[in-house]
Amino acid sequence: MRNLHRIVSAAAVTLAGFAAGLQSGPVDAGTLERLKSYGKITLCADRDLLPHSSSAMDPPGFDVEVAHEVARHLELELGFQWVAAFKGHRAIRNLYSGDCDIFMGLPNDKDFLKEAFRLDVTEPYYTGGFAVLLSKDAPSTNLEDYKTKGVAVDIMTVPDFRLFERGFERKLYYGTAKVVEAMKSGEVQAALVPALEAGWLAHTHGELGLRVLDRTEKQYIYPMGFGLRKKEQDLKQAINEALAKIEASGRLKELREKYGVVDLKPEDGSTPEKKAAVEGGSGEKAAPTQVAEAKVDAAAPAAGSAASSLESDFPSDPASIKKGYSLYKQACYKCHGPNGVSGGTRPDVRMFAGDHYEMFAIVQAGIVDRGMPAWNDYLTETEMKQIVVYIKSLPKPE
Amino acid sequence: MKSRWALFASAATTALLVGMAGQALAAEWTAVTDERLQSAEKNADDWLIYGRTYSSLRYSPLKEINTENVSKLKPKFQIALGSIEGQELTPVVNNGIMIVAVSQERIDAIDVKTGERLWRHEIKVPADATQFTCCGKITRGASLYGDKVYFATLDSRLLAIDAKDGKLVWEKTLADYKAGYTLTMAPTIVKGKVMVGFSGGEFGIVGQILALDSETGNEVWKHRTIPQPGEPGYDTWGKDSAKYGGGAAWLTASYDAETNLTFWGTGNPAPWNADMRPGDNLYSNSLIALDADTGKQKWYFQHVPNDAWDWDSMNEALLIDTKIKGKDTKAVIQAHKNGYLYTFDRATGKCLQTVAFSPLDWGKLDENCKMIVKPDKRPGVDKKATFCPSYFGGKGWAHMTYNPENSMVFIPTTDMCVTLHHEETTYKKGTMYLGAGGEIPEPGKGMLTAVDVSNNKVAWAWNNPSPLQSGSAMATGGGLAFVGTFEGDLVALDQKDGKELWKHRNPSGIVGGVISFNAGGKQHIAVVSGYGGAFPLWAGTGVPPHIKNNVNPGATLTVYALD
Repeated sequence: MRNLHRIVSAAAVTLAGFAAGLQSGPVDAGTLERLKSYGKITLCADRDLLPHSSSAMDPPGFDVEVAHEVARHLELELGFQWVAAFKGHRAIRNLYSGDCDIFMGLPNDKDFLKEAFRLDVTEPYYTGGFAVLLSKDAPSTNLEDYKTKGVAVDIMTVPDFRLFERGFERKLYYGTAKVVEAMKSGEVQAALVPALEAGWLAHTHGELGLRVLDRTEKQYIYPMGFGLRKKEQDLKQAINEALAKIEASGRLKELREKYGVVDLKPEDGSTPEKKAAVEGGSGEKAAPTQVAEAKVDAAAPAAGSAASSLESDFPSDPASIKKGYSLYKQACYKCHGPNGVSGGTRPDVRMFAGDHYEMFAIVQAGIVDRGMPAWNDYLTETEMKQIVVYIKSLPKPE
Repeated sequence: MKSRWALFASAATTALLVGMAGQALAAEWTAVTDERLQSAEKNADDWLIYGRTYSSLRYSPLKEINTENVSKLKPKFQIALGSIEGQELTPVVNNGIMIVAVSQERIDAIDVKTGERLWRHEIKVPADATQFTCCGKITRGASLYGDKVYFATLDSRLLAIDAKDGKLVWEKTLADYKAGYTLTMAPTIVKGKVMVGFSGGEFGIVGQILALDSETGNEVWKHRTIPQPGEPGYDTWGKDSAKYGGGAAWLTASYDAETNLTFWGTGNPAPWNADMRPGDNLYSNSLIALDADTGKQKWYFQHVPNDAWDWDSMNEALLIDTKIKGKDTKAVIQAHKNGYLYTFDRATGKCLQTVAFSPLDWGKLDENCKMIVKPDKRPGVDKKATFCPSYFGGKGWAHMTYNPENSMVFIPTTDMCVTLHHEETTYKKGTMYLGAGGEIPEPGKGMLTAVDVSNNKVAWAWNNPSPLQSGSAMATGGGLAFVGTFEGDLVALDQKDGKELWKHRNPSGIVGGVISFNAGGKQHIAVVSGYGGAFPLWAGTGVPPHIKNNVNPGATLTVYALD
């Protein structure tokens, strides 16, 4: 699930800007023919991200096995391009640049596709999203009961943003495996994490007695399909046909069971809404969902009503800016320079291209291997926001 | 086919033989004994100690390269060191083997005759370590003792590495780097004791110097630079401020065998906001003399009581024997951030003379060497003051050099001012403890300033368009003063008049020390270039545009010789 949540989260915060400058090309009807001439279809997958994929092939992973079945139906061999899926849109870029033909585990979600508009996603091969994970001793199965105690989330994912908006105390971790570790040590009892990974970790850590609830809020549910280049509609159609056959034969169900895939259902018992792709999707009319709104709030404050939400998320009154300036001196000055003026060897924060939310995400999680600390461990959320507000208040250099 | 095979075989055999011969001729490690260290003055071939000698003079008596022929000096080889961090090191050379500590990433042993690498030791520093240090992933270098190389890591471990193969012999964790205790200095090693002082004055540490057994890493003594409750001097820290009082001794010490004293400069008190720590704040911003065997403080001199400017006294102490006011004196000289060069009596710490070597506007020193500061030059809470030199100092940490033959000291100098104000702050683990903010009104410039210590007068100053804040200087017996610049120039000046006789542009800016040694009967000069460190991080508008726009990071070792 990591590729999903990274991509969904990346989509929420960065993909829009990155995709904006790209053109979607004309439809190319000869994709299948081209692939057949090579005899091979190439999957971009993470080298080490079970239950999705593993280059060690022991086991190969849910995505890889489903891709194998599809390739067999297309009479093609399956090739691999190993990528770092946690790098979000950078991983998808491999697809754009032609390093591979398919990238699995992307949400068939119109807002996601609107942002990644050179992409298209096939019919789902499972219903994924974010599930409630509970430790053995968790006293309640209702997430609301953990509102003040804290719910563990994977940093910068949809639940991170959503629970923040809903006023939950969040405990932030980098990756679902870290959440499970925290459950093991008793740090947390409840989490809202990618369902596929949660199911897998609960399955492989049977001794912990973790529970994954298959009921979750509607907005956390995504139908997951194969991502491919939008112009390659003939390939999309062929994969859809193959998936229908594999589903009908019962093979897909077998694989879902093998990898402990939790089939998420909405809490109210209704059938999950299909979020149709912009074109060539299931044909059902997509109702605007709360996720879509959440993403607009979190990602695209430029438009319309978002302005008021920006001010409520990042109050920019003089007192907040002043506090932000003090905090800047405690945390940021020593690399990014006095008053936001870089001496040249570290990024000039005044030139940061993204919005408040993107800057906040970086302040929070850091880019640790490049020397940018994860301030989440040292500063409160309010403090990190004050820093962002201070930096955003600085005049841009000439 | 047969003949071709035979030819191939004989070529292979020849290569093998040549390889073996090469091995036999390759440089071999010679134990770095106390005797060799203590007589380093007389051995011009090596550069065994950070400051070349225990007296930290950075003076090489070699004179093959001199004012007559330096114009013909050429790079003999260059090696890319594979780092984009600032290269603040001074390499050391023992019998033709150079030990190069590449930032906090690796240590290379290089055969200086061939440029071949003999071994490499990879240093593993946690990815988050730079959060807890002011100035990047830097080191000033590795130190040698016996058959080992000693290295202090940013995350406060001491590594003892086998000098013959680069393998780790042992390591010792000395402090919690997440509380701001970091190590950036090249250790001082005297008589089997490895001494290090922690950096972290911007993170509210309590300054500490440790002496560790060179064989086991076990602590022999520990000296706190800041008194704790019940200790003398504690009353100079109002508002319980000694708890996070700073006073980091963050540069390599000098050692005097005759008095058995080590000389350390201590850094700024924390936070920078002086109102939060009423009193003199002993022994921050002081020169302290510690007994090498016990760590006991023999004497101290505090240059800047109740510091409001970040004017550390961390600077190296040079031990010199010369005539002061006409009298033969065993002295110690120290150039200060505040722009003054101080001369002290080595045994007692008595201040003998001072002279301003850098532009300054804050006031002056009186006859007792005490600062008399103009009221408008002292920043306070919500009180801005513009003063020169800035917090980078008239002399930053770039080391000066002294030629005992002519009593001249050559001081890398920064000409830059700052506008600073103070504010209330609270200590918070993992963040800086400053309580100050400011701005540098205009880009800094630099000089190499020559002072004749015997008459206490500035002799000349050579000007550079950027500060000489970080590149250490070296004087030679050939009448030359070398220094590296942010532009990347290694420059050779005439000691007599400061005339520029030669320069060579390195691939990146120079922020470390230049050295000289003898190998294969020839004098060599070496420097590691690689822009970075505190200046580009902290100077902001003080960085000259030609440096900000034109200088890229990237580490290279360049070794020079005459043809």
